[in-house]
Amino acid sequence: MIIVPLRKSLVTLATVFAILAIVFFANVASAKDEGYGGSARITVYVIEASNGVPGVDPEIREIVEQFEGAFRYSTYKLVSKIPKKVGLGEEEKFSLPGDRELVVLCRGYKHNRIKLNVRIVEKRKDSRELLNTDFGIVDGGTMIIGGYPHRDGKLMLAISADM
Amino acid sequence: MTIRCEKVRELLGGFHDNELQGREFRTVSEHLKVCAGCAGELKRLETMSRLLKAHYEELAGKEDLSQVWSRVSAAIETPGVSDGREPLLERIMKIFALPKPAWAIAGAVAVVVVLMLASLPGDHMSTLAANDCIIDKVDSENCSFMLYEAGATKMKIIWVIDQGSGETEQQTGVTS
Repeated sequence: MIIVPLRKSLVTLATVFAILAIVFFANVASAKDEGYGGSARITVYVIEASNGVPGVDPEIREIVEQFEGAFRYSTYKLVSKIPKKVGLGEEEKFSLPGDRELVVLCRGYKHNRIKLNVRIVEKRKDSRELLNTDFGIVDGGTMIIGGYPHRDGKLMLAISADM
Repeated sequence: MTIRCEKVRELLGGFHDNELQGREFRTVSEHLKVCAGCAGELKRLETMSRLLKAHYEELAGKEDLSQVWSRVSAAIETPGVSDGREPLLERIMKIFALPKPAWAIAGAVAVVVVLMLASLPGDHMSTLAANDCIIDKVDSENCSFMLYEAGATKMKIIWVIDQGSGETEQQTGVTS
């Protein structure tokens, strides 16, 4: 005889729980995507790739192993490593060899990817923009921009982003 | 006695105690209007209840109630129930003794939650490669470029070819 009120209270409890779950997950989804208000840690590894004495700097070995085979360079030397925190909607400048500058704008976080705008600007010749790209990279991921002449080889920029 | 009478008599106790609701209450009360046998059974039930109540009231009058509270206190102070809470095992057993519809509802809620998690927008981290990257746009006024994807981690490469230098894919060393 006590079953009837017990069932009623359980149905009410389950309904309340379902509504709360819907509200919670809707908020989590929107917070992760559109409402991301944090910042991204961007690390730029400036690498010189050439065909000198074969070898890879230990600090960039993990990165080089991931693209090795796509290039025929024998030497990968770390020129500099620049970590910076980039706030949402903010720009940070990374100085590059050869009077060039890498400008990173954090555009937010969407679909599990950190959205960035990256520009490479040549400071000489009235700030000529060499490249302008938009991409979304997974948290902790790395992408490469390269090909610019540097000494006897080419400049490669490994851009890592994490939250 | 018909099958209906059998069912009604099963419910008579609840009817007498005002515990029936909705359809069960209507069924019994309508049946009692037309079935003298069941109505008589209800009468007997009422008589028995009245007699029992009178008997217990009489017994209660004779009982020395001053002893009751001392017995209750003694029971409360018994080890294991001194905090007024049931033992853990009994509480767990009570949870699992809930009626089946409760578990059905809880299961339905769990399924809804799982489906919602599965339908969250975008890809899930577990399905993304370590360097998964979507390039939305690449612009360059003065240079050409090539896009590559290297290795199992799907590392994306934008390789710029300076027009002014006159280099070719062969010269850059790119094997694509």
